[in-house]
Amino acid sequence: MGLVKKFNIKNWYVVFTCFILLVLIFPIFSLGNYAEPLIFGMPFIMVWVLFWIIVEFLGLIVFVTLDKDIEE
Amino acid sequence: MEAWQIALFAMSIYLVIAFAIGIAAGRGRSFFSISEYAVGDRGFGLFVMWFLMGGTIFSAFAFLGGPGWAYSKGAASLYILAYCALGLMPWYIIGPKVARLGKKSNYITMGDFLGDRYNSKFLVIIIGIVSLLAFIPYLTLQIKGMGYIFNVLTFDNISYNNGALLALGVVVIYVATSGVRGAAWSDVFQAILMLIVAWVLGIYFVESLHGSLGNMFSKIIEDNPDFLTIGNEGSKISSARYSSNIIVSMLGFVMWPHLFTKSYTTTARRIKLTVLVYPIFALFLLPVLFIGFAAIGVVPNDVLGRPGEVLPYLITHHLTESGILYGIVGAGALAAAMSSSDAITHGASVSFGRDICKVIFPSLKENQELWIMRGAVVGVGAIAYCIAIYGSDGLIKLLLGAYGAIVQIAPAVYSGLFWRRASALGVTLGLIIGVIVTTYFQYIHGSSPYDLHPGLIGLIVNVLIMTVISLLQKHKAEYLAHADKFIEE
Repeated sequence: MGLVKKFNIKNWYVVFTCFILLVLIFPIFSLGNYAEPLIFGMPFIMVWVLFWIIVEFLGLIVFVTLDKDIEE
Repeated sequence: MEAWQIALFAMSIYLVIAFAIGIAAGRGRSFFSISEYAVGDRGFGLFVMWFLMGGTIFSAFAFLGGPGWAYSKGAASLYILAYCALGLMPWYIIGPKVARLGKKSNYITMGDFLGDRYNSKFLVIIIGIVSLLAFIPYLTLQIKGMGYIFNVLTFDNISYNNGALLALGVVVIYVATSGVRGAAWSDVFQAILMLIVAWVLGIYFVESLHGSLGNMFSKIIEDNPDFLTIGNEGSKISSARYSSNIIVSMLGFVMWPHLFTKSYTTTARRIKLTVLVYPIFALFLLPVLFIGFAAIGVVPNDVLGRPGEVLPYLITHHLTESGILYGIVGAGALAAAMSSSDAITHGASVSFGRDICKVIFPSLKENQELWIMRGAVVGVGAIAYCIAIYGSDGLIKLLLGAYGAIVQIAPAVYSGLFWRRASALGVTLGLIIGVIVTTYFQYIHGSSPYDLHPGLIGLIVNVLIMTVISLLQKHKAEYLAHADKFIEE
């Protein structure tokens, strides 16, 4: 049972990593590939990259919290 | 005192502190233990790990090259943020495995791990040579950065050669004496210093030259809207090159031997928590790009020799005449270059001692091996220094091709951990041919299909060769049983 759960978390982590990669490269990146509008004074493309980096950070917090394999 | 003397004084104080921390870090630790020198007895805490891994990305490239990219290539510079954010993600999966294997079998290098997994000494030596070939130009770039900073910020009163020698000398001494612990603790200090300087400068230049971020970017867009996009007519980079750059960097990042071997310095839990904070480090790089964007329309295109000179130009032309400020900026930039240099010289010394000398002369005693490593710190530093001073631009460009070679190690590492049938022959041939293909498209052919990163084409060929050969070979039962130990770990 424990083994199955560990396997799942790792798989979801790989899926999550690929997802973050895909939104930061083409073709999906073309959705964010615009200079305007400016948001907080920054071009849209820059905010797009920053937004997904923050999503990545929040996602990693979830993984670290759920990960049963975090022993000391 | 004149401004340059104050600047030199401030930079010297920085050098003394970095030196003292580096030396002090090794005190009270065994001077004669390879495990201590190479992997800090596998006991690094979380705080040190964060800055050790963080300091490594804030190299001279980030501090000088980052603004240069933003200034000359616009949106293409976002690649730096993307790859910093993604580069460490694979480590969450492979790092803990490698840490456990390393502890069980006493590995200290990447060659130890691959040599054991594939039972091949030849592969270990190939990895050792590829690592050294990649490390030396990487270090050369840092040395060039250090010399340049010293020279510019002391108004040519300290020569490029002497400035580089002084900064490199400090690194070589604390790495040779304190090993990885010296590099780690000085990185804590250097990373913090560099971050503060980057943020202060980023905010200052945007405010003083353009009033606000919005103003700055509006002006850039008015001039050429495509400059802030990728793959359009006025953009500086194609979408294929931008995407493949990110993929290659993401796969290659943890394959750098000095980063890979950090898996051995700590526990699985701390590795995962280090991956967790890395996106935050990527966000910290943002002001570095602002510096470059702030220079657009302010620094004329024809006054710079290279885009990388944009930050020093801004500092000397658009900052106050205050010597103390010059000194602090200089210290921040030196910190960025030195926190990478220490990790590189250390990594190169361990690779040379363990993956090359120890494999060729297996009878070396621990003590002798350790002295070879300490000597290699000086040797590698000297070679990189000579190339930085006497090497032509062409030579350095050629050597930088070794960067592309690093990612070719990835198939060997991943199949080592996840695919039991992968064979030594397949992995070795894939690696060698992958490097050749990459070099061909980078230097001989001069361009690559669809403008993809040459390393990605090499990687595809590499994986194909490795897979086909591994599948064709018949494996002995013992080989597969041995491989399973790595996969099940």
